[in-house]
Amino acid sequence: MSKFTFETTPRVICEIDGALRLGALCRELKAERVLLISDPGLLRAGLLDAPLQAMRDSGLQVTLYSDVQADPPAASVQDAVDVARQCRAQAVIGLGGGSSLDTAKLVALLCGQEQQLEDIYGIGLAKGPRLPLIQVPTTAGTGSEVTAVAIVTTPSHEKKGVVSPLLYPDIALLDARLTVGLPAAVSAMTGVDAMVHAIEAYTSAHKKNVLSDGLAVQALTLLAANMDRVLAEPADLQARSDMLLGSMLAGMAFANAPVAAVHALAYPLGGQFHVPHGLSNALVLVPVLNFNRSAAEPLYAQLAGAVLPGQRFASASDACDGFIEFMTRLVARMPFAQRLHEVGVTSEDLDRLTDDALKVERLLINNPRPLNRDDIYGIYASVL
Amino acid sequence: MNHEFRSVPRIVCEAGALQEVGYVFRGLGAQRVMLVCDPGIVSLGFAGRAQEVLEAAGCAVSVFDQVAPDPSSAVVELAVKQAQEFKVDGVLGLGGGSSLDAAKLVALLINSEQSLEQLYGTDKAQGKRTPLVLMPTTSGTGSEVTWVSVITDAQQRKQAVYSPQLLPDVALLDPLLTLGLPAKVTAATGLDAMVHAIEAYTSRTRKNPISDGLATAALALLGANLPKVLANGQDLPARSAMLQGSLMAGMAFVNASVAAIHALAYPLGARFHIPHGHANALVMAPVIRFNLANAQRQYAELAAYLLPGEHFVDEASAAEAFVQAIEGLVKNSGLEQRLSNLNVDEDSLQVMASEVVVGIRRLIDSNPRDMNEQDVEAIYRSVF
Repeated sequence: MSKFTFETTPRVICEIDGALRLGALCRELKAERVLLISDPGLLRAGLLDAPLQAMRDSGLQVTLYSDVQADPPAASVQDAVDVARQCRAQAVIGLGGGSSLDTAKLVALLCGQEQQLEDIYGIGLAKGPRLPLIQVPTTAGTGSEVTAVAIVTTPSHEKKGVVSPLLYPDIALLDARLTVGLPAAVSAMTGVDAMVHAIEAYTSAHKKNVLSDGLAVQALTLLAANMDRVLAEPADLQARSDMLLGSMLAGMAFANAPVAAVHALAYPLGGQFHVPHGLSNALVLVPVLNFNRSAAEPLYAQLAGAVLPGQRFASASDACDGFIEFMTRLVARMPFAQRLHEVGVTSEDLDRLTDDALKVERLLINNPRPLNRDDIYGIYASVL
Repeated sequence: MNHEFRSVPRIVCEAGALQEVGYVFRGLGAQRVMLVCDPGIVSLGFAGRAQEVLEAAGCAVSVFDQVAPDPSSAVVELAVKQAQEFKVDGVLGLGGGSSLDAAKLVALLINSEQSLEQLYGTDKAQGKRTPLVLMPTTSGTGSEVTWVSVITDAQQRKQAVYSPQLLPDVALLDPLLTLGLPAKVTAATGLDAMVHAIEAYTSRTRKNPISDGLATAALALLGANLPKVLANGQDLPARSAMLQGSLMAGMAFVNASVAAIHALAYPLGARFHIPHGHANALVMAPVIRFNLANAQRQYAELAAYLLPGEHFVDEASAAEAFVQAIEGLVKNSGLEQRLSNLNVDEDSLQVMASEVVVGIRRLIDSNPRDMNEQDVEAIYRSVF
């Protein structure tokens, strides 16, 4: 008997050049003074110019905070909160990758109330209210625009998370125009990350549910069909739009059916070797799929229908093979590192990586097949 | 490529979820709750249980149990008056589509300066509504996840209110409440939900990938479980799947539109008081047969979800198998199949046909194949 809770962003707008309509959307949320949160790379690339101009033309008072760093430090979140208070922001817009969106979530939350950041680390401790919040992702992606989590790095270099339904924005705005300039490697890493979200949501051991399943299958269908297209034709707006949509749907799925061993084994690579999150996932994805096969065969067989539409398989075992082979080939042709040694990992590091992965208990428990220390070490060693 | 998708921010599905309703309202900050339902819900004991649970959580409760099928504007106004006198700060809709539609309007009107008539149409409502929780007892209308309410005005005309504020804070699904549904209601509402999924998927106006993913997942659940709940109404996993399928079909269609089946069903409800689900069931098979010429590809795609595991030599045979499966489901539903046996007179067929093509043009526009008055009349005649 299935029992589940499903929470999500109540309004999603998919629109080419939708970012030029942010002014009107802020007005709908009754805001005249707005803080736009982004990062220096997007500012330099000129991606913020048109949306800022359009908002100012519509009469809004817009303040820009463009100092978001990757893996945002708690101190920089506090800086952004101070800026928001100074300009008396009535709404917050996050425009960028996962770090900008996570920062925007926390700024909107901390500006609306008296709590401090360190008081709300953990699950469900934030009290609210938060300021109206619009999230505009520029990668496809983290799915952060439809998840209830924000991760920051503390002064002691720990990663801490805030989990609260208050972090779902009022509006997620998907504007594919903002993603056409993404470098191929970033498109590839973030695209594979999104596929991992869909796969791990679909096989999630405890909170798998019909809504996440339906969204994960549709996400994987879109992502598998468009991954190569965006690499071959970076300006293909339809393909970019489908990738953004697939990333968001995968986000909706895993926000309610959490990710598992791929992410658990990826985190130490990010923490110890500063490997970008999407690449960390891609490096361990295939060996984890092979490891999970004995427990997840029927589910992987079902996902074969999403990545290889129309293809017929004689048995579930064949379909599972087809799925794993598809993902193996896809990862292998991506323009990024394929082995751990390419990102600086040596055989001496494997013990420490394994120890750290074992600490990510909250995700390991979602894996369809339990992993012990030897299993994890073996997976890292297989892709060294 | 451009579309907008709205959904309920929180969905809870659990056998026994009725026991959680007090906790849910406390979470929304409500202390004086109005329960909107019909007399049947009272005699089944559901209203009493809801009241007990709410009172145990410290909420004062006012019960309005006078909702009738095709609820009238007068009933809604009566409920609003009662809610205002009781100083309600939360509304619980518990029942079929009529009760949920009425509850949505009550929540919107309690603190509004606007009259009910001023809300008729699209996006006319201003301001916020009172916290709202919807619990469906049929599978179903999907009303718990749609932003439309349909009522009958003093001149016996159907009026629709479309407004995003009608989406509840929480959709609470308790399959235990559907175990006792009579077979005919189970069949009619189950087919209605399937029509939502099918018409969303083939919508000519607002078809979109999110609705598609939800519609296909919904159709797979509904198709597999409708025969089970008709054979054994006490089958809890199947009842649960029907409720989930109905919800997902609701999310799909409200973001993509329904089409000719609904258009042809409305006059049967308005003039002859045939329940909405039954009215859809009467015309669904001939409309789908009529649409086949234009929707072959989409019906072939849906065949994979309605007839999983079956292989078809080509698109045409898959689409034909889909249409025949629908015809079979209707035939085996136990519902009366002929208009002439439901007090519909032959002279009305032409009148209804002209009403459909003029008055409900909006829905015909979403149909995969255009229909003129003769087409509509021929479809009515085929099931007369």
